[in-house]
Amino acid sequence: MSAHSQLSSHFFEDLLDSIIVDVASECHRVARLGLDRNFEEEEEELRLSAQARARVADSSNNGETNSKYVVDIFGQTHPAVANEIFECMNCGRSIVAGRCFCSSLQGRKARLKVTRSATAAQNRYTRGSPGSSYSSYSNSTGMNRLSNGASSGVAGEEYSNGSFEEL
Amino acid sequence: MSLRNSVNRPPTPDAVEDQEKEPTLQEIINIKMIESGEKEKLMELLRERLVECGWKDEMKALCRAYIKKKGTNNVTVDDLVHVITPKGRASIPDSIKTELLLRIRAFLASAAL
Repeated sequence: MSAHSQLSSHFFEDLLDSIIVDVASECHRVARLGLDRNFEEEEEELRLSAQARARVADSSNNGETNSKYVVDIFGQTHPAVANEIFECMNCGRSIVAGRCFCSSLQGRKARLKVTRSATAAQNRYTRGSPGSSYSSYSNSTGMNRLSNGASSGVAGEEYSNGSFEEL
Repeated sequence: MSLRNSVNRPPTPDAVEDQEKEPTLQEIINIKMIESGEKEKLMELLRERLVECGWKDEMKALCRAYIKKKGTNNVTVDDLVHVITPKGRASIPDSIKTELLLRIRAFLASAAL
């Protein structure tokens, strides 16, 4: 071995020994100060995460999991899938929480809009023509009509033939 | 009349003895490395590489295992150093060792030593 190689090796070992002493000193300090209380918890977490990884690997191999969703170590699905079934407070239908609420909520929103506009229209009418009357919507037909895109939430009277007249 | 030695002191060293205590090549290189800042850079580089490859975690695990076995109050830093040094030296990845040796040799060449 050349002189340079020997010197290089010697310096490398010096550096390594310094780092070893640093690591030993750090571990000693942590242990003596009791900063390692989470050590067993960390070990448990490592064990659980290794188990979860093995479980996911097994599941993916067996095709048990949905290819769209992955279950993490906390049992949560990603992307989130809300599987619980609730009863809609508006129409009373059973609906899955993860489903889009458009039809029910849109109808509910539309009904709210209609109600507010109707109130505004009624106020205008009462100021302008005291004799006018207005029938508020209470059935789903009106809601469905409005849910077809009447975002302005106009109010009107519903005739018996089902047609709708804008006021 | 002989003079009494009122003070006990070691004899004055001869000038010849002083000339033999010249710094070795190793010491000269060490001083140059420290003065240029290269030693600190090499230390940081080696530390970083050892953390990246998991070597440090491995050594910490060994230390923890030893401390758990012996008891916290029965372990000194020296004990831990003696425990992890053989394994630590043996488990250095070759790529890291090569990288550092090349850097050191480059420094030696640049320092014209």
